[in-house]
Amino acid sequence: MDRDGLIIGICARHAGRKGSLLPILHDIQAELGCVDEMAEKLVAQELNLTRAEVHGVVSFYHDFRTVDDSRPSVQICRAEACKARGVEALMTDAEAAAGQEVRLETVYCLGLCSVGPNARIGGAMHSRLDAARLKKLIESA
Amino acid sequence: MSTVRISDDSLAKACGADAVAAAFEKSGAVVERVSSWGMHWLEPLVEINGQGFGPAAPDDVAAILDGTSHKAMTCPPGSGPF
Repeated sequence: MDRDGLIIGICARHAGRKGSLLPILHDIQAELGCVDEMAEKLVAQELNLTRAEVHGVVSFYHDFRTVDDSRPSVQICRAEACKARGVEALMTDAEAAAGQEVRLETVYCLGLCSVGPNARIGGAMHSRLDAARLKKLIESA
Repeated sequence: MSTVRISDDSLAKACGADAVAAAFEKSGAVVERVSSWGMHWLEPLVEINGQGFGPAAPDDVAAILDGTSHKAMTCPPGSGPF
């Protein structure tokens, strides 16, 4: 199936659902790796929204990418609590471990403030990170 | 053998509760996943017959089961008068 057909199919899967834009965008990113300009246009057309509305949502949430990037990603919390528990001191080693192979993403709070520094890889959360544990997680991401 | 109660919430899992639960199951214990007491510094918190242990790691399982663990809580969870 071509890209247009895939996007139209995803929109059809969520037809009639209230607040379907976000789940549609997540599904498109999961299938295509990103939500690019062409996808925005097609989703706007399928949902009878303006292109500006769809672009507003895509550009507001940092989770959405406009360019495909299939590298594994590691989200590291760098909000106040994790900063207070030393996450900044881990970043140089983390960036070295990630290199060009893993995409490091900064996020602001994973909700586990009492046991930081925290990271999320896929659906799994990891807490009480030190340099060695974070390096190991990044290398096996 | 008594049931081993281990939290199943996201914070406990982030702290390694799944690996601790798997280690208890491997040793033949019956594990029940429960919600957290909220004592995050003790997660993964293991509760057996009202006695708490934490933070527990898979390597602690044998000592917890034979009663020699130094990670026993001095005040059992749920012992407050409220």
